[in-house]
Amino acid sequence: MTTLLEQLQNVSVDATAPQWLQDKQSEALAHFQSEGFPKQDNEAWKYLDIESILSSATSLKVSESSLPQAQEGLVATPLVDADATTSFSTGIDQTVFSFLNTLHCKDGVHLQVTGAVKDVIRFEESPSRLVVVVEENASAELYLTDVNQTASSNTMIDVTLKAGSKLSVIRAAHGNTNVRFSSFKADLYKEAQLTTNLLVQGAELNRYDTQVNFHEEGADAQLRGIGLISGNSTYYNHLLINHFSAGCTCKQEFKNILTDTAVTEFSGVVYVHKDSHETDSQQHNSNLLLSDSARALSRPQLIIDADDVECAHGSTIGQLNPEEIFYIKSRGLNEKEAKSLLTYGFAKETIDFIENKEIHNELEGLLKQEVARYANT
Amino acid sequence: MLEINNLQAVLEDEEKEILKGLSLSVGKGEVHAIMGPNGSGKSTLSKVVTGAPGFEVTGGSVTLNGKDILDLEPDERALEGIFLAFQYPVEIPGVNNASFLRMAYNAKRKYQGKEEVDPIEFEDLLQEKLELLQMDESFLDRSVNHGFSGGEKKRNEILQMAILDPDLVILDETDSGLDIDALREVASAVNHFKNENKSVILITHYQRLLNYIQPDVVHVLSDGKLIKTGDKNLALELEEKGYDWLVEPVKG
Repeated sequence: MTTLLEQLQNVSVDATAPQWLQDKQSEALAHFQSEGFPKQDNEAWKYLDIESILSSATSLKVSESSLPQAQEGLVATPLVDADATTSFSTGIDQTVFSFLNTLHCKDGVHLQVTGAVKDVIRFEESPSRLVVVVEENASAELYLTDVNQTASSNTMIDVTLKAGSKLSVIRAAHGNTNVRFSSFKADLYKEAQLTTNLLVQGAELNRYDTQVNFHEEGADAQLRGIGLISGNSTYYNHLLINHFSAGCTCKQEFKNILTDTAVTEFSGVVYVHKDSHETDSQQHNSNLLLSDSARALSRPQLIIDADDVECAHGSTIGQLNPEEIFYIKSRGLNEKEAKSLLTYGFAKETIDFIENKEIHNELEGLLKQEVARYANT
Repeated sequence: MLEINNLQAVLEDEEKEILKGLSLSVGKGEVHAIMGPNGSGKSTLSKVVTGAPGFEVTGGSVTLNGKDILDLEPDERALEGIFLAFQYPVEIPGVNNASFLRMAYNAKRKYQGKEEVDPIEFEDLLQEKLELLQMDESFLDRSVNHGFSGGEKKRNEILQMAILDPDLVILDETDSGLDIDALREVASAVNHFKNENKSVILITHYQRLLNYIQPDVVHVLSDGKLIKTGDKNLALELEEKGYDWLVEPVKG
């Protein structure tokens, strides 16, 4: 059987692909050939021996997901039939898997949002590659659920938000799988608004890379997520926020709940480039450890090359507070119930911002189910 | 109702003895006030009786309705009928106040062998208690104590008390941080709650609360022991003279 490593290394430009994709693949191939797989001396991959993991992981599933249902304001086409020259990126620096995604790309889904899309655009399974272009003043809500995922995956989403547009992306990944690589890149133009919510659970190795680029004034991004990591699983969540323009705001709130011998790493880089004044960035990473053997690493980072900015970042790593457990027990609920309530309360804050009731309730159900399991271990 | 006999307890971290042989008997239908200077062990007493972490009982006994409770978990003590209104109620972000109240109420129903109630049935009970306490409904939709003002937290404790209907209530400095109006409302809720079957222990620094909730017995706690017991006039005397006149002879 081919290992994931062999599968990933076996790359070439697909001569049957449309010309724009062949061009992207040539660039990606050049990048991969010069960079190769990251070694542990690379800061962004410090805690992960990627080659040994890939040598034992099961092969990748390239999802042939179907197009979402047509509706007003939405043009959905197979990726190979779209001209995605400007909206499809070759890859995200530091994330070899995004380049590999480009190299393995046979097809995917291209969404062009031209108006106010009313119904949630839902994917029961993430397409291997999804490209979303939200035209000026258009808006849409995306919901991707990877339920009961069993195969390894390497997915990527490219998002372009043009002036005055709005997009919400909610992703929930759970199920027992080997490895899950996910890259997300967003480019925001004047006064665009992006909100993302990410729920991660289940895979033995979860690696999420997110890059958000602010190109024009007045854009706003709200990025939130919760990781529920148990057993021997690991979750590496990396953010790079580039403020290329003045006057943009970005909030990042990521939480993890860990039990057993789970390991999580949060690395958030906020880069305020020269002259990007009046940038407002708030980043917070909090981690709740439910076992003595779990380990949470947190690395919030700021690079600021502008003068007039407001940037805050912080992280917390802690356990449930005995005072809080006592308070709940003193009302007649037992230890398990108390722990479960507090853990749920910690997690729930991250989904409270989801305005869509149906999705909110679905994720709430999922959280409750997971948290009850954690409190019982 | 509650019998405390020669109770001794230490603070685990510091191995410091806080309660040094305290005895107290609270009968059915009685209201006892426990007063005393800072650091005398008042709050520790409430915590040891309810089973808070961080304390170790090194001697003596505590029984509730004849049952030894020192080996019981805090939740078991609560289900047996003890309720502590916290001096500093804990905030639980993300947990809806109404759901929390219903969970606690149902835990008690279950313990008593009764059917649990659904949210609709519970709503009626809740409305009745809110009206009684003149509390705003908006309390229910918020997270437990999260972002509540000091006064709101104390009222929420009283709402929990009213819902759980315990046999013995310990109010740990419930009057601290309350303005006069809030104090009156809280006191009236406690007065409404108490009857010949309920017992109340008021832990307080000040005599003020006792103007609104009349105690049957007033105790002075100093250095881990009760050093004086009297009727409500003792509280007035303390208000006037302070604690020194009681404390010094003991030391001397």
